[in-house]
Amino acid sequence: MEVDKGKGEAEETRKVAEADRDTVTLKSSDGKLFEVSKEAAARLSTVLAGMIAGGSIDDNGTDLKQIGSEALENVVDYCNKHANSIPSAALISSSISFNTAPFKEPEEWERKFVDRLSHDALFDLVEAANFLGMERLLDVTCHKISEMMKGKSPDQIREVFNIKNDYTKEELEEIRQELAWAFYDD
Amino acid sequence: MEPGGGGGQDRLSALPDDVLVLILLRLDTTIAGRTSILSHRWRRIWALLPELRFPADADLRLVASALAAHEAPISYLDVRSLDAVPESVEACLALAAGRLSGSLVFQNRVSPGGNAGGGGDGGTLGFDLTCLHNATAVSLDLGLLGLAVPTTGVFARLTALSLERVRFRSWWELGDAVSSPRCPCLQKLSVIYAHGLANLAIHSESLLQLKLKDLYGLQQLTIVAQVLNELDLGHCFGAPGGVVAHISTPQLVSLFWVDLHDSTSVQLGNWPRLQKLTSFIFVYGPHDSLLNHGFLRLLKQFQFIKNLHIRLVYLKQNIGNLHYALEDLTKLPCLTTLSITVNNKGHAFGASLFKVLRICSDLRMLVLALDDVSDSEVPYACPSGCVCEQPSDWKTEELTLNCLQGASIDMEGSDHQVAFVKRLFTWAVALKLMQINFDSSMSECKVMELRQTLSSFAGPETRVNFYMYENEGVKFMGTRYLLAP
Repeated sequence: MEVDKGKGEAEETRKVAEADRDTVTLKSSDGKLFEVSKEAAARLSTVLAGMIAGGSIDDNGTDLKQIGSEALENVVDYCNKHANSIPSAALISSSISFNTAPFKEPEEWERKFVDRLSHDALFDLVEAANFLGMERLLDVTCHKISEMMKGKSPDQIREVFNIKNDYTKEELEEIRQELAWAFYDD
Repeated sequence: MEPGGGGGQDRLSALPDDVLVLILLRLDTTIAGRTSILSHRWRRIWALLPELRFPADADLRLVASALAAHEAPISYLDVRSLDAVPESVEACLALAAGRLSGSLVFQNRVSPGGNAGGGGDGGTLGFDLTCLHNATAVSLDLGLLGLAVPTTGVFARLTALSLERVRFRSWWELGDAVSSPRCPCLQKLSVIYAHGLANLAIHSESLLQLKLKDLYGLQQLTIVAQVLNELDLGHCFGAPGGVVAHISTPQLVSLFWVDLHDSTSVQLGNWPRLQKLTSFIFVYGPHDSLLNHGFLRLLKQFQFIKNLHIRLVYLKQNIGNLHYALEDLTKLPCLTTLSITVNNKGHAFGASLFKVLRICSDLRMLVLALDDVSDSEVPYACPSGCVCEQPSDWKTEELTLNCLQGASIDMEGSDHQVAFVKRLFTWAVALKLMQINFDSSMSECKVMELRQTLSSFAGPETRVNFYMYENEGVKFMGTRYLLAP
């Protein structure tokens, strides 16, 4: 083995060591640092996968300026939990089939994971999942929001999500007529 | 979640369109449509949905107006209607056809008092199917509405087509439409319960799986499919006067056959690659049972079949005056694996299994599904002195299955079943591994008791493993797990 290494070689060794690390460090908009399994991050997020492959991961914390520390903690928590869970057989479907559900139902632990979130934390997480290209986490959070809409009248939905009705009476009447197919049993 | 969460901010409406679409996709399309009334932001979000679902008993006039107002390409359309009129079906499908680039599932359920097929004159009431140029999978269950298949146009991307409960308005159109020139990618075709197909001729270079079942009035059937792997034929050849059939499928691997077989009118070609044949026989049936004769004739065509699967079916009635059809089963092709499903409906079946095993003494692998009570109904109480008990040779006569190395048995533990398994252990002198699979419905106590009893039958050189099916609603189906020793 060589005893005397040149500077360039040492730099090279450091880079290799970095590439060999099995975690990546992410930095939230408010400057907090989080470690996440590199494998899970690359598998669950198309954006992080692209950054890892492109070498734009910063060892001192890759800046994610759009994501607050609470949401990033949830993202990292989700990645780590996902790394430890085994996908159920139900998720594997055959190639030609008419009746398969076009999206996957959340697993039990995923359901619990989003159920404990506050209203704001849920939406922060949807935005983070969307920003990071995390298809599965986006599915799980969107599923939760759709559950919150189910069985509710438009007025109730507006109340739950603070949606301001900005239609005039005439406009509402017009929509009801145009979408008679959706309001037939009202 | 508390109402009005998030400190009064509307976080939901602030999400981008594609995320809102992901949320609405999880709702029935009608419910998704209603969100347009929330605010201007929501006015046209539903119209961007790529998948539309109109569940149980949808009113097709409403579905048609939804399709007319919808804007985006459709990758999945699922419509379940009740007592549909042909005109509305036609209108809906025509509206979707141009934008449909994926799967279509349409089902017409007929209510008990409803008009199947739109009235007594059945075949005359129906609709014209639009050519679905970009659809990849189409499933139509029409509740016996009439259907006119388009006579021109190419189903360029269609890989799977399923037609169920259909009255075809003319007999020549279907074969032409599903054959290669007009369905160049079709891999999977099934036609189940159809009227009006007097002559069906399929010439396909792409078809891999074909299922034809209950085709009433069929007189002539031609199947020329070079790469077909699986053929499933059932109750198609029952027309008075017989059916002329010509089947050429040289690559066939698996054949399911529950039909008549008259060698003068049915030409089957050669199947050098056939690995699996599945059929059934009524153990006690009328002397002239055509299905039994069909099965026996078909069996004679083969010298060797790797996997033979026979379902032994008993009728749920007094069978005393019926013919014992297994008398006529005197020879089986050479086999590697024999699978037998016994549907005994409370009758004793040991004698019948003994009879089958006696003619395949070089068998290596046996798979049995002992299904005493089908459909979990009340079991048929077989009268004392029933003819099924009479052949009792199986209880005393010796049989040596000295090639049999492995056996797998699905059972629930009735007395008939336990008695048979006990005998099997004495016949299978070289048995290495026996797997007993219990149904998910059995109690823990019953399972414990049976494990003890059955283990005591096995010789020292036989390993017996016990499994339990996970409850998936269907008996002896789905995944199993090994019970701890």
